[in-house]
Amino acid sequence: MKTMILNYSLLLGFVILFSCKGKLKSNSKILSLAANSNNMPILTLLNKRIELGKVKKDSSVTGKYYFVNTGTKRLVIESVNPDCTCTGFYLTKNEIESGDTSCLLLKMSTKNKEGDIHINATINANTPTRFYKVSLSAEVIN
Amino acid sequence: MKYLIVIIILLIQLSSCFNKTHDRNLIEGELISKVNLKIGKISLDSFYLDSTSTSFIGTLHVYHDNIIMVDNQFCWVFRFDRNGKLISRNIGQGDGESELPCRKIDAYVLLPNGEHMFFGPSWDVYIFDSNFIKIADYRIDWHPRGNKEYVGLHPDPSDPIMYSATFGLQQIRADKKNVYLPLYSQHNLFNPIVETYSKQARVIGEMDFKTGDVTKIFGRLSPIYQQNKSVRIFSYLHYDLIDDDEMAITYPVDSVIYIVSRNFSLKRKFGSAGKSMSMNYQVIKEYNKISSTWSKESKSKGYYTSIDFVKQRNLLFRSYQKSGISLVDGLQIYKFDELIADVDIPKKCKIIGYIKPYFYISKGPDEISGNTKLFRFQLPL
Repeated sequence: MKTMILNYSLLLGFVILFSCKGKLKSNSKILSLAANSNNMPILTLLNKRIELGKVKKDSSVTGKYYFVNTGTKRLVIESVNPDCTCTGFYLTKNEIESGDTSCLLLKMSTKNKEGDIHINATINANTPTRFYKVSLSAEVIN
Repeated sequence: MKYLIVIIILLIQLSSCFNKTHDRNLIEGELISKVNLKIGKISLDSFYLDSTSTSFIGTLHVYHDNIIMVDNQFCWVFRFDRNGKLISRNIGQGDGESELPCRKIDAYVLLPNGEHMFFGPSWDVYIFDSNFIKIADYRIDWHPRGNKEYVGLHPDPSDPIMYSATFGLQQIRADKKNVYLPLYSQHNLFNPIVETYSKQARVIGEMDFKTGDVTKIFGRLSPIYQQNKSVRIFSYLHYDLIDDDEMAITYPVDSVIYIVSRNFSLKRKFGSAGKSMSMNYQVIKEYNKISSTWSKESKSKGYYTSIDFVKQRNLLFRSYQKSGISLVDGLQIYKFDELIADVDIPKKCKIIGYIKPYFYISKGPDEISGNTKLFRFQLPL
């Protein structure tokens, strides 16, 4: 049983990793931005807001946020802080070379929630801007 | 022995009088309803704050000649000049000496001496001086009388353990010694849906900001909450400090403005209803529906959204939301007890302060448009 859970976890990890990478590799516009940056890492978010619409109560929902290092130095994600204890996160990698991509996955529980919900998460990186925000919204129904 | 009995009887009577005063306080006294509309319209001049790396979740304030923008998500404090030009970016989230170690700011208070006070999500408080150097941090001490297990089964409206602060709905105010925290209770047996709440709930907590001690909880909801069940989803208040003793109180669903002392005894009451305010809110019977119902009703129905006293001009402002698909909100201006203006303002705007000769209003940072727009106006008074 333990092996089965481990296998499923690994599989899930790979699916997330490759789904993020696949989408980003095709985005040539973003890669071209790397050339414009000065001697520093730059975090460019490809999507910041996800609206999930109606979701069921007592379930869990996820949002994926893709970003690319459009600077010339290595980008380091120092922390990710969702503003609700109901939300966990997974980062495909927290050190991103110039031109490379990563993906942040937020997983929110709708347990004991009802109506409109809006969760923000702050990404803290080694860039001049330092902080970035992504958000996840949904309407929880019974 | 005789004297002792007399003293005991007197004390019991005094105590019952005291309770009665608190229960009936806001009902008593004559309602002043003076209207002398001297201003029919205000002319708004608009401008934007300089673009900054902000989360667009936060609040705006005025201190002396500066506009302050507090970013609740990233914990930045931006300082702008009176025209919106960026002067400095300070603090920020982090573990450094002059950074905020909390994940987000739940509430911010600009203290009268220019110090900055931040409330984190776990009753954690941080104070920075006017140069943004951290000078204090502590946790709020509510001084609960009961323990959670006991109070869970035996709710006591006079015990601070029953309450939380309603951060986010209103501006928090402070005088030279205390910060006043707006309160509400989420207790299963004592919350806005429960019949006794409208009469017994305390609505303000007085916290000594040097120590973090909540020294007393006081105040009540207005009598309208006892008369009308549909308004109970709005069981909180807005307030501002007038001078060393007086507070101006408005409730989201009551057209009356109450001027009370710091122990909540009524000094006078006045006010006129705002225009185009439909207040037929949905009645709910279950506490777990309160948040979603408030969220829905507050989008389309009329209610009062803030009260602000501008000391430099001795004027009291009350903003309100008009109901339905109105493209504007309302702003009432009172001089002493008299309504002198009830004018249209852009949606969701509130007074943020006064820099001579302008009054500044804004709805705050706008996440959707990615900018922060302010309006200012003068009054010919």
